[in-house]
Amino acid sequence: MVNIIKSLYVPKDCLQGSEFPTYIIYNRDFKGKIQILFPESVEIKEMYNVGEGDYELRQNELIIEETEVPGYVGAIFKAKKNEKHALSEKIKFVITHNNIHEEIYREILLFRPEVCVSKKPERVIIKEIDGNFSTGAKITVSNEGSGTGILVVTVDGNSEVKKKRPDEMEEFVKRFWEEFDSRLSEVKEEFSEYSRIIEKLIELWKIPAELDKEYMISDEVYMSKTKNAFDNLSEAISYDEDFGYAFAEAFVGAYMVSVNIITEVNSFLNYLNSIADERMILFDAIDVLELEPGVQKFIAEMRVTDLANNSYPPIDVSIELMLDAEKGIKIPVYSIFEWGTRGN
Amino acid sequence: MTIPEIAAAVVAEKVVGRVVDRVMKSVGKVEVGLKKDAFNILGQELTMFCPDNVMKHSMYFEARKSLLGNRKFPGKVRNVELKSMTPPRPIYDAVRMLPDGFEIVYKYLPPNVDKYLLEVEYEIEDPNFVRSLVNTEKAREQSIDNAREYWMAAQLKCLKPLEDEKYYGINIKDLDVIVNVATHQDVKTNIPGSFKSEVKIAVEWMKSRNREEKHRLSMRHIGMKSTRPSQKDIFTVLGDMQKVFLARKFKRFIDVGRDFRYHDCIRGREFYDAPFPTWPKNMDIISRVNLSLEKPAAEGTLIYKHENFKEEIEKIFSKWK
Repeated sequence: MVNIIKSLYVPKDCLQGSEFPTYIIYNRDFKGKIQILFPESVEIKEMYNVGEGDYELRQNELIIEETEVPGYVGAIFKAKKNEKHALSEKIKFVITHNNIHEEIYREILLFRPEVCVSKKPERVIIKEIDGNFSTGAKITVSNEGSGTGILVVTVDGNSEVKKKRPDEMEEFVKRFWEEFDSRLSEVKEEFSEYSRIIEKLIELWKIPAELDKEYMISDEVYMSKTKNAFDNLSEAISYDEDFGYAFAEAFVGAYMVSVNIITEVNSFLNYLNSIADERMILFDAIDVLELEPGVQKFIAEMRVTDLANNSYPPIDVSIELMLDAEKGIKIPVYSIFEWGTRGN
Repeated sequence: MTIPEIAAAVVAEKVVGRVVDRVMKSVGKVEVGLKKDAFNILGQELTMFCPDNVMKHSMYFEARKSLLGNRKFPGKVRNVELKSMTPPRPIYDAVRMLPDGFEIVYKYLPPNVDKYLLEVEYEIEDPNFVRSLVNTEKAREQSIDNAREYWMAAQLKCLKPLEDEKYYGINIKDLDVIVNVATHQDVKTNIPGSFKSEVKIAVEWMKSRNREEKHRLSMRHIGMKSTRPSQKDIFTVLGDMQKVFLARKFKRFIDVGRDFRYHDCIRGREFYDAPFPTWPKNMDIISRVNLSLEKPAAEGTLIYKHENFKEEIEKIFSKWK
């Protein structure tokens, strides 16, 4: 049997909701049957080098009677999103020919994030002292899973506290997009086959957070659409280096003429603030909450997605916010949260 | 129960078949033309160069007699090179590029040379060719158990159109697979809180138009600076930080193994960086692999040496403290 199979591949792990490859390269003289038995938690998506009538797909079992060119079978599986945030599964390969019967197992870990609110005080108290603010007990958010969670706070229309993008960032973003848009028009002309991808990205990036409702688009849908557009862009760049360089040039050029020293330094703070602990990234780290003195209701949900674009039930993060100050202030969204470690 | 994408695989096979047939047609004309002009064909090879989207046809042949005149070969050709094999040397004058192909001018073939290598690059106009021919997959992220090791794989979708005994199959060269390596957690955990506070004060100072406020912030900044011996400012540190993400620096933290090899790295773009990605949370690592009929699938690993990366960040901040 060692002589028949030259190579058999299943990756060690896979984020639930994404695809993973498998393949067998075997001796070209072997003309037998290949069976692949897979668990409920995965589904087969594509198969390579097998003709339409040369396979049989049963419940969790793929039987390949013959290949188009001998010596190789490839397949793509998709790991389904599972109730468990981590599960180790086995895929079994059986090779049969006359009196030869060989079974080979490969294990794969299917994982995802598991974001939850582990502590929530009755009220978050914000105090202003000499232009600085300090926050008391915060909402603790933890990720119990291994996957990265991308978090966005969606504020309800009835919330007394609203979410907004800071003015100076708004100015930079506006200037940047005007410049980037004009530079991308040239890229679109040169690489017309990618014009739809570029247009989709521009359309999505231009939607400011506070206008979501006007555009009839939720943060969750926005994130999902943005992710798809980015995936398409990445794919185009990976197949066309020239397009990649042209796109990067347009981006860097627009950034250089739009940026000022405040945005450059501030962007570093935003970068750090958007990275929570334990594989959590805050999507709207630059946004701020507008607070008035006294107690006000903050009605909001935390939407979670991941790098495979899975969606999860929204987490209620509604809470009373109390500002102990003489006049209203704006505080970053992340400042009412703290990031717990696993198990806390 | 059927596999829905099996239909897509059939379409892919048609795309590949169409492109390969078109190249084969041009290649066939070269072969027939040279044979007619009394050359012996010794061997042929077809290689697809993925980044350039060109298929290179290499033909080894020998002359049986001296020739005059020329022969034209049609085709969507990007580049042609003719070399003598003994000694190995390019013969520039003998090849002329034409708007719809190329020609070989026989009188410029050097005397006393009988073996030649002709390399013709055919443009592949179909932008879907490579993605119809090959599937690539990579780890979107790694589980904590397999920390810092990302997998990648590439495999041929269809082999049948590539199978041609005359060419010993078509080789696929330099197929790119891009893996997004997450660096953000390592950056965040190694930045001292005091640096963050100093940056925050600098931003507030720049934003403020109130003289008293500016004075107050200046005093706080001086107070902070006096607690550390280094006088290095935050802009120098931020500049040093940006340099860490340059390819020539970052490649030191990457090891690509098995069938793949490292090619390049660029600052990552991710959807969660919208609306304006400025500091990368990821680096895009471009690795390359070759495939052929003999090796229709390949696997690779990418190890991100995060401890070394963290040391580099620590080094930057050790000068600041």
